[in-house]
Amino acid sequence: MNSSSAKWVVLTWRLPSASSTPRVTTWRTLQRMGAALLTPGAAVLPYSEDLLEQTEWLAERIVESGGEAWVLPVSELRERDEAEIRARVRSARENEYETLRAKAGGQLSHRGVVALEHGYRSIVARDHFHAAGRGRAREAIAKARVRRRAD
Amino acid sequence: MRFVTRERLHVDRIATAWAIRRFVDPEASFAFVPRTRDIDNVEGTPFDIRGAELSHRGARCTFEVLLERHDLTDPALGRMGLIVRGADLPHEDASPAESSGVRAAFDGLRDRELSDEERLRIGSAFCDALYAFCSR
Repeated sequence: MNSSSAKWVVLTWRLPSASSTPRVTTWRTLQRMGAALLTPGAAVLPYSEDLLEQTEWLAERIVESGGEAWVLPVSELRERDEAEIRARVRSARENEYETLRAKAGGQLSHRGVVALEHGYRSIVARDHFHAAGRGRAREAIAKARVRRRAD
Repeated sequence: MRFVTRERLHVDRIATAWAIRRFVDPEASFAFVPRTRDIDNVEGTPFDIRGAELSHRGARCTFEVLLERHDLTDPALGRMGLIVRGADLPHEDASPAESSGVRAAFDGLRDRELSDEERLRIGSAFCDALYAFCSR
C-alpha cells in the first residue's frame, strides 16, 4: 500500500517489564503527538507524513530500549472505531483547553502568560480533530495578556 | 563516498548531508530511497534510517550522532545540533526557541514541489546560515 492512501498510523509495542523510563517516555511522546491509546501497547494517530516519521523514530527508541515495535499505516477502520478514536482525542484536547482557560483566568506573571501561549500552540498542534474549547482558551489567554500589559 | 537516506528530505537529513559535505567529505554523493524500500542492497552508507549505524541514538538526532562520530567539537555545531534535534523531534523535552522556526522552514521546503537534490541544495544554504548564527 502506498502510504499516501493511509488514513491512520498504528503503533504497537512491547517493552521489557523492568524498563519504566522508556515506558514513561513512550507514553509521554504519544500524548504529545495527540495519539489515541487503544490498549496497553497499541496507539493510533491520524496519518500524516510527519506523524508517520515521528512514530517511526519512537518505534526505533522502543527497539533501542530492548522492546519491540511495529508501525503500521492503515487505510480503513470501521466507521464506529474511527468515531471512537476521534471522540477520545477530542475529549483529551478539550480537557487540555479547559485547563489552559482556567489558568488564564488567574494571576499571571509575564512569563506565565508566555508559558500559556506556548502550551496553547502545542495543544493546537495535536488537536487533530478540532476539539471544542479552542476559541475559549485562545480568548482567555489573549485577555490575560492584555491584563498584564495594563498592569 | 556515497551515502543513502530516505527521500523527501527534512531538517535532520539535510543538516547531516550538509555536515558530511562541509566537514567530512566534500565529494560525498547522496542517494534518496523511498520510505519503505529495504536498503540492504542499496550501495552507500545509510544515514537517518531506522536500524542504520549513523542514525538517531536515544534522544539524539542523526546530525548530533554524526558530530560525535567525526569528533566535530566546534561549539557552534553543538548549538546547531540542539536546534536541529528540537526541529526534527518536536515532542522531545525543552528544545531551543529557534527549533520551531527552523522546523517551519523545513516543513515548507518539504511541501514545495522540488526534487530532493533541490531540497538539499536550498536546505544546505539554510544550514550555512544557521551555522553562521550559531557561531555568533
